[in-house]
Amino acid sequence: MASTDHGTDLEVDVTKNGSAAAGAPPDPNDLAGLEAGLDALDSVQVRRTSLRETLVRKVLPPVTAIALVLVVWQLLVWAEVAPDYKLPSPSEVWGEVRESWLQGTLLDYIWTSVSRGLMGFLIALAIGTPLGLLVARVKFVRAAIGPILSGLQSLPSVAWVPPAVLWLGLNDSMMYAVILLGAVPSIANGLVAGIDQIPPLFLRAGRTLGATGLREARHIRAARLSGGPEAGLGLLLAVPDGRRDHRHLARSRHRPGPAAGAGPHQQQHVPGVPGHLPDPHRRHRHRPADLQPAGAEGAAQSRPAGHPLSVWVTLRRVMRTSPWLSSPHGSELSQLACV
Amino acid sequence: MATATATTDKVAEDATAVPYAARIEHVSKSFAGPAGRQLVLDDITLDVAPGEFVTLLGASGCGKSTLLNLVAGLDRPSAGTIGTDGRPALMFQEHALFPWLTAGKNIELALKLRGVAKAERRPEAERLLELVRLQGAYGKRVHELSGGMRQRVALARALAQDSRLLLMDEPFAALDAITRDVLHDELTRIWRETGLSVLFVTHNVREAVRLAQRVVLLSSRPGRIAREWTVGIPQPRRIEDTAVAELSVEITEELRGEIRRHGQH
Ligand SMILES: Nc1ncnc2c1ncn2[C@@H]1O[C@H](COP(=O)(O)OP(=O)(O)O)[C@@H](O)[C@H]1O
Ligand SMILES: [Mg+2]
Repeated sequence: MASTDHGTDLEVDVTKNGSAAAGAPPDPNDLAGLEAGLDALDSVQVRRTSLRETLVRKVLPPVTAIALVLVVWQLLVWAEVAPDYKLPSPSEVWGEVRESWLQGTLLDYIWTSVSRGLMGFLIALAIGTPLGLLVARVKFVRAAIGPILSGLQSLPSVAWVPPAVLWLGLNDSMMYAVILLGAVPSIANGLVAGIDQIPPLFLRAGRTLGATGLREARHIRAARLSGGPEAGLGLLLAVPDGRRDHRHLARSRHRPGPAAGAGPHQQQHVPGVPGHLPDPHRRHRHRPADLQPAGAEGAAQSRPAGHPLSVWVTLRRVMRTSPWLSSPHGSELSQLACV
Repeated sequence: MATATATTDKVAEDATAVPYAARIEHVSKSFAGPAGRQLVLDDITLDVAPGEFVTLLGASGCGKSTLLNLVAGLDRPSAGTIGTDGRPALMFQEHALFPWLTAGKNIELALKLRGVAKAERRPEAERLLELVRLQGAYGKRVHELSGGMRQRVALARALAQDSRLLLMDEPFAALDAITRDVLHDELTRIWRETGLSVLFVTHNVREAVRLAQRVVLLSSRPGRIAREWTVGIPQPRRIEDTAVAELSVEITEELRGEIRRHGQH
């Protein structure tokens, strides 16, 4: 118990080494100083990366890769491994792009693809959201179609192209069918995972603060799903950010509280296979091993598999809060984002 | 302390003033377990006076958290009644800060849910951060803070509820000894400055004696109040004070006796 607490000796040492003499009443100023020292020693150093560092570490590698591809491409052209019409040189392709830009057709091409993607995404959102809610909330529905949804998600969209062409022909509806078959399960599963993963601790903390019912849905559940600017951007770019989760997991221990329940609903964390998608329909979630949270706090800190809506919420937030947007250039943009 | 102006929340018997911060009367709690119903708390009766600092001490699994959750209103007792002066604030062993918000915004959310007007939230949040000596932490994200800083932000958030009663469930158990020691000093200071009532749960005897005016020992299986000690040692105390150590030895003996009883049959 406490008398055998390993910390006691240490504590005595601190007093002797500190400026307060042992046994003297603690001087409040000294406490503040001690605390400031602890904070400085103990807090996680989050260095703002300099522009130069960002360039070197984030921009340089992809630029190098692209340059390399261009070089290899040009080399192959010079070596004449394939006839001109099969392998045009980079400069020819660039000329074509320039041409269509000048003629105004390039934007058309791009717009066709983008609008298709956007429309498909919106439709998928409209279908996937209620579907996800249903699966998350209704046990029967979950048991019925949950596994199917997960299965569909692990199927690459491209796999749908041949049957879609057979049934629908080569046209827009076939495109949409493929997009929807890929996106709807992802969206629904993302939502299910997001709802599932709300750690009971957050709900309890919220409740003691007075967030119940609708306020809980808004300030805790929805807020968590939208995940804040960083999380949302991470989702948008599909970049898992494991470092952040790690740092403070090191010191956390898993101690389920009574309301968190040692019952069957306690979430278990099982190390997953790297690269596996989280499967929301199983009680233990698979995550890439390096993202594995270490307990209740881990689950709390780890990013929820976000609903795509969160991307929008996030964009709005980022645009509203970004300093550069308060400049004259940004004002229209931020108004746009406030719609 | 401004306890005379207290407004009652759940307790109707006394409409003008509440003579207690929490009143636990004949409270029992049982859970459905694998072997039928398991009695976790048995006939607990305990008052926390306004401004009083009480620690609830007991072995792991004796029902301390269960009792605190009942007082917090997160669960209902199987029998008995619990009255509190308004909704209590609650702090956990885990900081339970919302990682999607900054430290400052976590506090502001508590203020918002309490109904504080928007314009007043930021200055109030900064004042509370100053109270826990984290002036610079307003814009910090949770992951940027050390364990001790997180618990201080959690304390500030709990204080933002402006409750008269602060419930703390082993809030420092996961911290290293040096940080814990500092937080003991801080908590004592804040308790004395604010005149809050505190019901503090721990399994650490020294911590209990270091902090409390009254130590309540809970037995295990079922949890009953085994004994109480009034701690007369003047604050500020230090965990290594001889008086603290002496009383700790006495309480530890009693606690060990309690635990031993379970091994005998
Ligand atoms: N929701 C619950 N369902 C079933 N048993 C529970 C529940 N919550 C707590 N218990 C049981 O009650 C006992 C006391 O738990 P707890 O209050 O967490 O102890 P402490 O906080 O003192 O360590 C434990 O044996 C635990 O298994
Ligand atoms: Mg406990």
